[in-house]
Amino acid sequence: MQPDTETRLKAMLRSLREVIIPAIASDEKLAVDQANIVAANIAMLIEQHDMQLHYLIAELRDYRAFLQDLLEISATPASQAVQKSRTLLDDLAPALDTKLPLPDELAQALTRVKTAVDEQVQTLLDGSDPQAVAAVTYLTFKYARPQLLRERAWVAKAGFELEPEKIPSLEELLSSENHQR
Amino acid sequence: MITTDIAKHNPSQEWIASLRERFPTHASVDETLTRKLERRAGPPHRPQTVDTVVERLNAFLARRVEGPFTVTDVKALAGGSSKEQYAFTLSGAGVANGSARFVLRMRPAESIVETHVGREFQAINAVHGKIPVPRAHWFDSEGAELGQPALITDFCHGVTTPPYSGAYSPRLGLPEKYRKLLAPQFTAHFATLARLDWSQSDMSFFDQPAPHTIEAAHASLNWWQRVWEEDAAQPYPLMTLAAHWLRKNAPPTDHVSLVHTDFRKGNFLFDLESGQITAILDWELSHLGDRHEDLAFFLNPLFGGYDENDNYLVGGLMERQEFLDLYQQLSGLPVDEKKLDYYMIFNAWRGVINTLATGVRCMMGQKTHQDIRVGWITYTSAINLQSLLEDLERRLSDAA
Repeated sequence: MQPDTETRLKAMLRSLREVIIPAIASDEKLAVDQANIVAANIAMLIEQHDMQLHYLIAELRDYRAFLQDLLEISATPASQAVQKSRTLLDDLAPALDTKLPLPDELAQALTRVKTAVDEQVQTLLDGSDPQAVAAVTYLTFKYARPQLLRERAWVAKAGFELEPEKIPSLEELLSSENHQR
Repeated sequence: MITTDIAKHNPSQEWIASLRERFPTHASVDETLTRKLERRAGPPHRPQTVDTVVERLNAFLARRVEGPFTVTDVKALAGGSSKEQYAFTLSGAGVANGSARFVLRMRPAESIVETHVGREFQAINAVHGKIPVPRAHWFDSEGAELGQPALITDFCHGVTTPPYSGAYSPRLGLPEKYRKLLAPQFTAHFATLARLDWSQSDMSFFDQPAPHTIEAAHASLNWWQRVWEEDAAQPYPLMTLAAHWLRKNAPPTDHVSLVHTDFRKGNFLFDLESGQITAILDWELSHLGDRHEDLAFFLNPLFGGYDENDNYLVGGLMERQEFLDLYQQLSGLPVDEKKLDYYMIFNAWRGVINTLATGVRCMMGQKTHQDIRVGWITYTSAINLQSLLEDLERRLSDAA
């Protein structure tokens, strides 16, 4: 996924601060005010955008603990509401007890794996075994297809696709069922 | 194998030397790419103020224009993705008709295509009088006088697209009226370029590949594979496979042409009233090579579209066979479908290098005056990768 979201946001911020805002007439008070707020929001998003998932999980973990503590002191432990809450806590366990990598860790791991794959592809292509060349070619195509579908879906709204309606949505492509192939 | 990103962000002399050795290419391209890497660790690009531009422009012109003159009406121009551009009026006794409008094109710290202004200057003047172009008057190859490498050309009137209503879309096609007027002219200029006798012009910045050899194909391959190595933030196995295939299948060039490399709708101006093409622009990537490289670029699916009757038009202008027939008739040069196929793959590969490697690299280093626009163009990389995948699969299955 290149350029990544942080790089895109930084380009937007730079454009706003260095080109657009200076070009707005100073007596256009409403436009100047809102443009500066947009810039400030983008600056915040640069810091926050890849932490949203972790933020939600931290919040969910705290609320789960809160609910657990409340259930401990419940005056009506057999009530339907308490039973419902206990079921909810059980349902949450698999998602909340899995340690998620930080976005930077994930990106670095991905680069390392891509580099290792590319080295293998290059080595096999440079070799003299035609069967190995055929096999690496087959595998490169095989894994390029889903990768490209994701990449095209990621930027389909930019308007460069001739028939964007034929590209599956990101939601469809990234649903747990589809990406746990 | 792709070098780590830290090494690319702050290139060592050893790494630069190794790239030059691995990917020998046109001498002036090598020089330009080497300077790019030597500057890379520098700060983000900060455009000069308009006042500074005007001050330097006055000093530059004072050494070249006879008699007193004035520079007025300096305006930043939009359009184009690689250069900073200003239009200005130059008036004085030493100026034809006493006053004329010019364009100053300046190279930012890095650009989505890193090019040599001397090559652009020579290419424009080689075709001037045969193809409508803005005449190139002066250039500053290192930016010693203008602060950035720069080229000064005539200003040409015209539009790249007629006024449209509704939201902008990069796939916006031309109305039928304009297609009918523009397609034959465009093809005629394309054909003129292919058969142009460039040997009579000053082409000292250009290396001349020998005809009937694969020198031209290899020089282009080395040029762009070097750029991929210099700029790509991450490896991409399909790109590695494509480079391998391109190297093994490079075709000989039957006729060495001046190749524009970006000859398409959007890179020419036309008069809104008459539909006459007034200028073919953006000669910065020109080189001496195989006309099929230019043809295949124009045929790239990125520039095609459907007309009102759902017929697919290459370059958004005309049907494929109609274009190729007219081109062959006007140029007197054959079109070899196998070479066209080869260069379709080459151009898709190169398009990915320009966007996914160089475009992203420019954004990461904040090296241009319009990172936001460069970023938008990077979104085309997925389409070029798709073309690359489909064309390579087809070629390899045909070969099997």
